[in-house]
Amino acid sequence: MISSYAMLVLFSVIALFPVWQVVSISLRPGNKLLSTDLEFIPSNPSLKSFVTLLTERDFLIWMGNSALISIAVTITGVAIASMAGYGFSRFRFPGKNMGLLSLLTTQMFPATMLLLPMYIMLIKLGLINTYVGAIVMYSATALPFCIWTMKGYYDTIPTSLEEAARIDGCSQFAAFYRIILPLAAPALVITALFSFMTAWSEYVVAAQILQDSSLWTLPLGLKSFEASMSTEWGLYGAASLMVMIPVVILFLTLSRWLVSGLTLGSVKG
Amino acid sequence: MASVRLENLKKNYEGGKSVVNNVNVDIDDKEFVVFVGPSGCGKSTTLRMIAGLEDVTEGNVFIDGRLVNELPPKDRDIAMVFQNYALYPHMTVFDNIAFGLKLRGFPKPEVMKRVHEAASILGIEELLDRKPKALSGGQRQRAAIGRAIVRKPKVFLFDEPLSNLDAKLRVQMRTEISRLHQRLETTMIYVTHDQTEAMTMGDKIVVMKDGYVQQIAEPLELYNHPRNKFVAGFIGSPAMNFFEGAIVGATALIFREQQGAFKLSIPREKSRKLRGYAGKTVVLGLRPEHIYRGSLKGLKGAKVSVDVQVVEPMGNEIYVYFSFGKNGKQHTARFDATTMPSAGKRLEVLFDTSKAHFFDQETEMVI
Repeated sequence: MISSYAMLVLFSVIALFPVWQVVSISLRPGNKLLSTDLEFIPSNPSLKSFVTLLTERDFLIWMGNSALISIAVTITGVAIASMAGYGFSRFRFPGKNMGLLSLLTTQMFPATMLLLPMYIMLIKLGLINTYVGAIVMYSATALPFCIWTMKGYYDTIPTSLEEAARIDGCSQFAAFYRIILPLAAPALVITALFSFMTAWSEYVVAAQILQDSSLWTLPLGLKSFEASMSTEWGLYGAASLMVMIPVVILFLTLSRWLVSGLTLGSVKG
Repeated sequence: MASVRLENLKKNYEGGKSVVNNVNVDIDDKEFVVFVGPSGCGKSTTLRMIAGLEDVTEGNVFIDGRLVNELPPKDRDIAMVFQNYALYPHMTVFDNIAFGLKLRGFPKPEVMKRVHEAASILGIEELLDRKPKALSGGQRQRAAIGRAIVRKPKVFLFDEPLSNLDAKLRVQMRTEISRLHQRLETTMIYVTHDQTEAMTMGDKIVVMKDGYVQQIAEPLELYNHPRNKFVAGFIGSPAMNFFEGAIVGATALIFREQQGAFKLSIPREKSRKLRGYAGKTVVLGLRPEHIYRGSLKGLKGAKVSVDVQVVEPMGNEIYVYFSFGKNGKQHTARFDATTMPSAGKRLEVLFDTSKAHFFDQETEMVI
């Protein structure tokens, strides 16, 4: 018992220490940014980096861009994956297995390998340097995993529930959104979080697509603090913390849906 | 209220596997019809075709005289109770029952009235605010039945609704469904693999095997006059005993058991039909209740000596499992629980030949 607690404490420290370091860096006054001592709270802590970030830099624009793109990717991901997953779970059609396998295969290529063909494709479509270009790319990247997640979850929901709904007066689609979709809430939350995170903290793809600084997302903006001669570590730390806040709120809000046993009682178990 | 007619109904799955073949059944208005048969006989598939949950490969389904082959389930004016209840887990019992009414745009006061009416019939009024997971098996099945009756559909379909309940509850729900039928006076189609349910509930029983209808008849007709060996063996519990043997004799016909274990005279009323089988092998079918203890006086029949293997006291009666010789095929007799025969001993019994059924060995049809 004690040893398991000790292990948990050890891993918690390993996980939390870097976060604390970022907090510490964001609070350091300018002359102590490169300090290597391990003090928990720096001497003369200051919120100056936060003030500068919000008043003198384009941080809020980047956050707006990130939010716009991430929300669009989340909505697209959830909408398409919830329906595609349902189709793969419930219907028999030619190419079903091939389709599922193809989706899985796309996950086996590293994203960087896809950069060049993606870049060429977006230029031809006139989508380079647009929000739509980024949204399309992120959605395409997130969808295979999301579809598999949704399909796997739908497989666990008994088909007799839809059949009962269809007899009660639902069309096939109404049975899906009135009965099955509410029961798939945990999978929808996973899909939403995954889609959101795919766009929110992504750098490499964004760097190729969004070249105009007015379109930059947060990771691109943060990178701009890194100049050739010096890096603004205080701003870097402060911005990193601010980037975390919406994600933490999102996780906390959605976590209440991440529960098991939603279908309990529906059928003889 | 409606009649249902199945006309040359067929169902083939992908790859040509045939599960329902040429099913022709006429179900009258207000009739309680039970489809019964072993697993995989096509009874549930037939029900699902009536419901519109399975496409019809060939043939027609008529509800109230209207061809419904192409109609979606929601437009057939039917209600179905599923084996696994299929309650909507995210809704309360009230919402589960009201769901169909709300979808059909019933006004709120009417929804309230009907839901409470259905709940009171089923005795679940105090459970209306609960979610399905907070209900017992029997309560869930009642809620599922409530969902079906609240819409007052033309036809009720039941797909093995009692299979998941324990034995005591099953008997209770069986009578409740029968009472419901009398009260609602609606056409009901009930699928089960349990012949006791079929016998006790159905006005008419459709016995199926391997996708084919074996016999359609009233319960007692089915019991007393089975059309073939399958129906004879399937209906009745414990199942009918079968003995293979030859018909011998010229004037007075005699059935001689294949291994020579016993011989019995064939009653005159059965001789006429069996005459053509003289010298051939036939199957004799005798129900366990038509085998009597030999010590009972005043009974007529053929005396047979059997080896008792196992004796099962049921309280009001005893089942005696016997064979001819230690390793012979096992048969069953059903006696009043007066005295217990001893296992391992020989016992004199009487076969009531007037109640015997004879089947053609090849076609298995009754002779």
